[in-house]
Amino acid sequence: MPAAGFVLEKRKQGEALKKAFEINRAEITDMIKDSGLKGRGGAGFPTGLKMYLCGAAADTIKYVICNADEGEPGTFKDRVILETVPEKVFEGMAITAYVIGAKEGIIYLRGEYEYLKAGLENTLDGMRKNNLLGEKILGGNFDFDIKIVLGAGAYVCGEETALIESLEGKRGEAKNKPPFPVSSGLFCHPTLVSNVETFCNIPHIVTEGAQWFKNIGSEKSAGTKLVSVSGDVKKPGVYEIPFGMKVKDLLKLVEAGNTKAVDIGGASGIVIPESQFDREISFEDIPTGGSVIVFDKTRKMIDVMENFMEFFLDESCGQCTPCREGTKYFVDAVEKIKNGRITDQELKNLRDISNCMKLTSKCGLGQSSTNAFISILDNFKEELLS
Amino acid sequence: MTVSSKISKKEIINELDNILSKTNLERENLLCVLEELVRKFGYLNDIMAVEVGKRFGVDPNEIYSVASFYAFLPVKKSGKYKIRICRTISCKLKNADKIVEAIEDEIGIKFGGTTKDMKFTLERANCLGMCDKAPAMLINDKVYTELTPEKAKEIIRSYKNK
Amino acid sequence: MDIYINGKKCKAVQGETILEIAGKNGVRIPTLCYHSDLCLAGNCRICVVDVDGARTLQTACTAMASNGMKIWTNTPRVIKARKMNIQLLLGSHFGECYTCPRNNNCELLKLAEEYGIEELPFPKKGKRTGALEITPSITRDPDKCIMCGRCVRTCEELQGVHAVKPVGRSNDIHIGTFFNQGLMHTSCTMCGQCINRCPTGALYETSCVQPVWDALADPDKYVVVQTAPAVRAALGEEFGMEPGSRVTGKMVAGLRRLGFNKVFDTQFTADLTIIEEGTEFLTRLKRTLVNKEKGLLPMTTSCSPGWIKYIEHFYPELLTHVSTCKSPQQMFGPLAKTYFAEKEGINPAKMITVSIMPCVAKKYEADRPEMNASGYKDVDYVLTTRELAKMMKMAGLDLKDMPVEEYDNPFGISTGAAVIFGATGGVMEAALRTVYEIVTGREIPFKNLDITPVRGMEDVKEAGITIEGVKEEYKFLEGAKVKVAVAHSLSAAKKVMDKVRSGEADYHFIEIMACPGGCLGGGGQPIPTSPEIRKARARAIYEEDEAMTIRKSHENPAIKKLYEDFLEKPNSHKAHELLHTHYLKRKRFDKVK
Repeated sequence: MPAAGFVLEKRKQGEALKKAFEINRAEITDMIKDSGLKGRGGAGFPTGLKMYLCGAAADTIKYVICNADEGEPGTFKDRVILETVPEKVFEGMAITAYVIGAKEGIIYLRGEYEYLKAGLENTLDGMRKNNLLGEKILGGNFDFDIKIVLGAGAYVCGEETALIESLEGKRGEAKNKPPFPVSSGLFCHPTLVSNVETFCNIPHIVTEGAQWFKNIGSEKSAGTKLVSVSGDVKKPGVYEIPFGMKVKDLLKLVEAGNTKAVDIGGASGIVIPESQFDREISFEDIPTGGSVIVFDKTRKMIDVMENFMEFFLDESCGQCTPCREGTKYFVDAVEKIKNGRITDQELKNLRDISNCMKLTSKCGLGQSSTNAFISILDNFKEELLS
Repeated sequence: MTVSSKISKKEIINELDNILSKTNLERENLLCVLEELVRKFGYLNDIMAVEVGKRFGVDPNEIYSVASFYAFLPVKKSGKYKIRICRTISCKLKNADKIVEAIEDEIGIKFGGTTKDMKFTLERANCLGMCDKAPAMLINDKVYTELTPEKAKEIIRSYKNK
Repeated sequence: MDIYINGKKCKAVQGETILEIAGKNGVRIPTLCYHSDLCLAGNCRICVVDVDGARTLQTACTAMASNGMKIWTNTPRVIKARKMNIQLLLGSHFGECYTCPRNNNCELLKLAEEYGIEELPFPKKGKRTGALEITPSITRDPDKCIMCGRCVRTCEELQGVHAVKPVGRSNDIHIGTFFNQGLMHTSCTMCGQCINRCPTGALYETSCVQPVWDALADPDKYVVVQTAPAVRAALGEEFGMEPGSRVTGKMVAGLRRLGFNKVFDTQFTADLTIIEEGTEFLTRLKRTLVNKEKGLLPMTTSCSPGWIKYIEHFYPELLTHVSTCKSPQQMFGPLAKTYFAEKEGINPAKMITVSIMPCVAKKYEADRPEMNASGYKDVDYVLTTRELAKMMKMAGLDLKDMPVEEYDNPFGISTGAAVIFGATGGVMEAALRTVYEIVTGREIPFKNLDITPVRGMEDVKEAGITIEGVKEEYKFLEGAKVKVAVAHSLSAAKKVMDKVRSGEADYHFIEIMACPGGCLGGGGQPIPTSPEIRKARARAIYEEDEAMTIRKSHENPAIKKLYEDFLEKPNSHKAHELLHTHYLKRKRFDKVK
């Protein structure tokens, strides 16, 4: 596998924006569509399609929002992007705004990252000075600026409709979809919400072309993925890997030893055993927002289970039945498993609850909050139930 | 920041005037204003909700409801320095529990508690995004990483005199 | 456009939800957080359906139809998921059904029955705390709350009061009051609309059933009862009758069989209210038009205690606009304990006055400390329509089997103008019928006395009447156009009062009722409620008016006699003492210093 590595690399500011101005809007949309870029937050919605939908929505006011509410346990790649190449994120937002016809951009920065705010403000100021933001950008007819809004400690606000509610000064409770933000988002105006990493890819695609991007990664997962690796490894940190990399190759890269299990996707992701380390990180196989947590053979999987379920007990917004009520039983179940008192019938009931949560929860949080529990149960049954 | 058990209405109004001189009264700025108040007073109380509500034209009970949703907008008395220790698995793997013990020992309160002098509140936080430098904690908006029990105690001590 | 529900082609219009289309096509989809009076929440996840092409199930209440959509409302996975969500709700719903005031009328229990819930996937987590919040009107039982949010939406959208809100999140989420200060210390108006929309027994009226039984059982006590207009148009629903059934005579018979010494009608004091309030209105008109005094007009009605508490909290600076007339309930109390007691030689100390009201705010009103003009508590106990039904059932009385009986005299005589107090616009209509005639000596020029512009369910109604050919003493009104407005629900009240505050409104007289539809949609009325049910009750009210021989308050012979024998004349000193009141400027949150 070639080392990909471009997302975290500095590049000449404004180059992509300038090129974008030379191409018409529809062509950029097509370019992003053709590149196969998908949302890097985890859900993997095609970015080009999002741009197209938001661009096609008829409204004089539109918003571009950068979702920097990075809260998935084990994920820190957005933090690293914002520490390293924030200007690329902003440029990506500006290009997006240009394409869809937005004048306002917002970066929703999680409250836990407040210490990044000053640096980001500096970057924005610099870009304004260089006429990359503000009025008549690069001397053209396009006005666009970005403001930073701080979150206040709620994981669910990473869900785009909850994020929008939060930006409107409300409780961060997910909304019913449809309508999707692309047609009715912030203050009911068409809004394009994307992840930090997604925006960071856009300037590269605009300058290097769709084909260049498509050549990286796997068939259905173009480009690279930043993964945040932590846990029992010698070299924790953010790695940029081409999509399709096998888990075992990643483990080698980060110098993991004696590995028993890997969590991919954080608390809402899945935990796989050694027998599945041949699987790939990609939208085709194991999609992830970027969290990779490695557990060596000294670790007990029940602890992982407990940690993740307690996380959801804290972070479910509590508005819809399956997520609010369902989560409680999984926290209880962990206790029962610990004490060796769980029955087969109870495990079956838990699976029924889990299915109900997946099928009927209002947002992605509830739909995925039992993933880790179920995958640990399936993959480490003997350890758990002995 | 001033934290005392009694915050006068006058102080609140002054601070609010100060905050609002830099912010307009669009609903989208509501959370920012509440965050500023927490920064100043450590938590939100009923007077603040009423005053903020008046200015924004939002029902005070709505302000309370909104604030109560967010971990960083406490609606109960809370200390000047909020120590938030990451409870997520990556930090756990790196002995975050020992950090908790050390800090509990240093300031003499348990998780969820506030010191009598209203200086420290000890809370657990979900992933702080510092997993590669675990274990981590936040004290207000400052992040501390790669903690050891000794290092953590030392950091806390440095705040005691602030 | 066409959509397919369970394979059957159905017509749909852009913007219609799956639930609406299913309803029109006779396909039942169960709901819980949905309420026809409220905005959509999509929280309970009971109404989920399968939609071809969707990965997850969709909530029928929120999902809009799109052309060609294929919907399946009862696939095995839909049924399984609904059942599970019902089970999950039951798992954190604490309280025994047999002790619940909503026994037999609980939407959650109904769903449990419908979906054949035999057991829960896990034993219930936690147990009943029994921590009730009890106010004179409303009791909140959080153990039974299932977080559907209907009360929040009711209080917020319908009433604009914001007394209850979701507080906290996730496992800690609950419905709470401002900084947990309690309903009595916030601006809850006690309207009880939340009760009518709560699917379970988490909200109900604070009951007075037992003390009323005790009074009835006490041979020393002389117990009189009054019944509000709106009760007779709704009580039947508690006995399985169709909404809109008129049960006046049967109700009277039932009350007599419960053992009340006298069965009286609040409509009698409704007529009295019209005389007192009409006179007050003319005085205010004169003082404004002739003496050029300020702050007297527009005058608003004062019959609705929820409205009174609302204006005390939200527009205290406008309290001078509120008629000083007590509500009919509170006019009745002191008259019973003075005039009637004297007449019948009953010791008022031994008299108990009970009222049957469509309202829970009336309980709070009766408890107001100033409501003791008789020297005693003027109205001792207030029962809701629901509580009366309960008492009748306890006594083995089925309303359907009751004979039709007449009210007792003298407080049983009333007019059509009084019965329409139960519907929005009714007080205004009754007042106009009388005031116009007092001023001009002629009947108000509306066909059959039906003042249709103030009728109906529009939230704010406006009308104007030009007054011509006035009597000598009302010269100042010659040619004047009297402008009136009628609002029902407190969000509608807000619309009107904001205009009054800004000076934009040029009304002379405003009727405001706290509840949608007026008293017939009151917080003490049978559950459920919906726009259709309220329309049916309104129809019954207007039919009742039509059927009355006397349709104008000032023609009520018993009222005339009351003035002759006792009160002297409208707005007399005595009338002021007994029948008028004052109001309190209240803060939104009395604990906030």
